[in-house]
Amino acid sequence: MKLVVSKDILKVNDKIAEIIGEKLENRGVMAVNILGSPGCGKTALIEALVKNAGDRFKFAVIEGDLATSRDAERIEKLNVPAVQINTGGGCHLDANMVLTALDDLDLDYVDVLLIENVGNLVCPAAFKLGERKRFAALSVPEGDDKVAKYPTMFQSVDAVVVNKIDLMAYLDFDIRRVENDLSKLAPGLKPLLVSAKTGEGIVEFSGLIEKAWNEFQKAQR
Amino acid sequence: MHEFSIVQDLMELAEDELGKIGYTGKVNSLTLVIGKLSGANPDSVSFAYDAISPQTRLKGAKLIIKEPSAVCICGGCGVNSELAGIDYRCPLCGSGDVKVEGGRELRLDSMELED
Repeated sequence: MKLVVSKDILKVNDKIAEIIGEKLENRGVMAVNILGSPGCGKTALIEALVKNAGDRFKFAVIEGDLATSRDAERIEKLNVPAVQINTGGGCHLDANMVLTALDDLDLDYVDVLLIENVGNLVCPAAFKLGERKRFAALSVPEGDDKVAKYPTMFQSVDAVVVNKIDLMAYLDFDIRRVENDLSKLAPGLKPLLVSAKTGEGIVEFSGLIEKAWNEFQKAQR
Repeated sequence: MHEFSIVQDLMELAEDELGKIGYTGKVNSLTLVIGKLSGANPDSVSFAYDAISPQTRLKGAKLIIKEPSAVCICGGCGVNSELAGIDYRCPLCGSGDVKVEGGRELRLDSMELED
């Protein structure tokens, strides 16, 4: 006898992600899931963004790491509420972790919730966290071949930010390779060049958040 | 990826479904759908399944994996074609104005029960 099931294997995660999405929407909070390698500058980009756009948006940050609360401490220094999730050995954040972390945030005082995922170019792509947008961060020292090597992840995002462009002069990094690879697997997606260190491109990075926020507001009405 | 945790979730889902219909007999096979863009590697899933399933209710059940490709629907030339590899442009006319459908499945399709 054939028993037809036809159910998603990661349905438990997706179901919780939907609950998070609805919860945030009801409170007028837009979540952005930030993905990228360890050391690509995800936290530095968040710091730069908060400094640049902190007067326009009330930010909150969820930080995902295997261990330590260092990232959350960095964010709290900027007077932005931050919750640290430690995954133990886990290679990605899942929706259940994020749902629990929301209990530690006062959502009435949040417009934009930035979720910094565990540094990893593979697993986080498969787990929805209730986010409205997904941004990928890539940095110049990682090399210009990462988009082609990790297609699943770069295909799943709404924006790609290339960080540490101040190092471009010292390294063999050809931005055209990134653009070319992106044009194949995510037609229409163009990388945004920034340096969290020098501040170059951060205004445009804030612009991405602003654009997403405006769309979110429109959809809310 | 994390194929071991995928297989653990799969076991849970399968046991739930069997529990729902109160079936206690033998399961001959499970049919999974793992799309080519899902990020899960069928070989690794099989490997994890072989390691995990003998200790479960699914002991002895054969794993059958279907691997559907993604379909690229081209807004340029209007032709639907199978996506080859990671290039998301239309394989016929090269247009980037495409809609990609399917290929992301990670689903338990059915189970074959002995009686």
